[in-house]
Amino acid sequence: MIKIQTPLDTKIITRLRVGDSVEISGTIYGARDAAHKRFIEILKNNGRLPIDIENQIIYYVGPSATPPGFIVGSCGPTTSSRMDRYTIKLLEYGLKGMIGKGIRSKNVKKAIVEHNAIYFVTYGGCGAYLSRFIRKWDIAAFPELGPEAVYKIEVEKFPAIVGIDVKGNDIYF
Amino acid sequence: MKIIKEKDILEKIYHAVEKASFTLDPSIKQLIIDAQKKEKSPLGKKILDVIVQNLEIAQNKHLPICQDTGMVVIFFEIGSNTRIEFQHFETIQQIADEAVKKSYRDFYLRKSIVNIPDRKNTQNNTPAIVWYKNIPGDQFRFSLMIKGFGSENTTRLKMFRPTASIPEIIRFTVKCVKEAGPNPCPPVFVGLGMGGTAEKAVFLSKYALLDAGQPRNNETAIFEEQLISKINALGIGPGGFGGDITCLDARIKTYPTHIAGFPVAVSISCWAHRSHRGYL
Repeated sequence: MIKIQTPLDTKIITRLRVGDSVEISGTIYGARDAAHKRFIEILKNNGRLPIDIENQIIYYVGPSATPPGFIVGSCGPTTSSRMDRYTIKLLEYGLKGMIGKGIRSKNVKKAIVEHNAIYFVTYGGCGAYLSRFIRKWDIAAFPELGPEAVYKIEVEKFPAIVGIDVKGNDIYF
Repeated sequence: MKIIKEKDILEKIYHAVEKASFTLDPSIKQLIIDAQKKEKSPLGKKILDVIVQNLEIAQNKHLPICQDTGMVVIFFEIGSNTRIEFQHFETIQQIADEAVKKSYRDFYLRKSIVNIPDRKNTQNNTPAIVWYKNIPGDQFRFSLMIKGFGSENTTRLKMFRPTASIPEIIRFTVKCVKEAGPNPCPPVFVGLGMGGTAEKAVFLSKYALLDAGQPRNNETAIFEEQLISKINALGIGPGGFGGDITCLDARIKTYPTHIAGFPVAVSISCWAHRSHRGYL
């Protein structure tokens, strides 16, 4: 088990290999389809993103509602490939890591290698289990998107597996 | 004539949504536990262990099994000798939507439904997808499915030649699961619809998923077992990380079709196959 702290350190990321089990602690950001679309529109118009993604991780997540007394509801990963069309631009702007589930495109894989970035995968459909590793869950931007808002999340020992490493090795192939 | 009260339908659907969101049907859970024993890949086994833990946490803490609490699909079977006593609503769709609205609010489920074309969230997870079938007698039954879209996005329809053979259809189905790969959260459930028109085949493939974990029908059992073993031979494994168990169950529904065609559809459900049956 390898412990990972955010913001990500390139030296540590470079040593990770596909299939390694990791525990992530620190601040990560949650964003999915609609938020990604907006990020890219902002960047196209030379605007500033509502979050600083430099050396950070984006988790592809849209949680269920938070019941009273809970930090968050169920919060497992969504299918990453839908974010592929937006990912390369975000990597160019300094994004270092992603957490999701499933396959990435060849172009995303190439960009991950080029930017010394990393793609983690975590347990699909296990949102109740994963909620236990969340310490704080706040809306960071676009509250009007409902479950698709951008979130600032504090995680402690959040479990994941290296899906694509800096060399482009892929757990699914 | 049997009188069915609006509020009884509403209540049954409300609790069916709750039940399906937090617990799996025992027959579905058993298939996962059996898979846990059979899986030989260490990572595959680990995934299944976490899945079982997730089910326990969901049940004990009353958290949804998966954050994608889906679009609600309800198949009603309504006896000819029944009459619904409407009070506040005018249609079954309205009753179903009211029940969905209430359960998604009260049980803190994710509201995932958006209008088209503006993709604005409807804020209450309605409308539900509602299908009706008229049956003889005085029974009123429904089967409800909470359908997540990680798996829904992998649905496929193919209009085969009328001379296509069953082995060809089986190869196509296996290919659909292969192409879906890790995206629909394997190990998966597979529904195969054969015949009818295009939309009927898709309907059948979805309807077939409701049979998962139930006793098999003799006519299609042999093909269903072939599908399971051929899909498992793909080696996609739990979570898509490689392993012996890719398919927990496969079910087939058929319908007569036209001499000029052979519509075939494949629906996939993630391992969290959430459904519930109710009757009045």
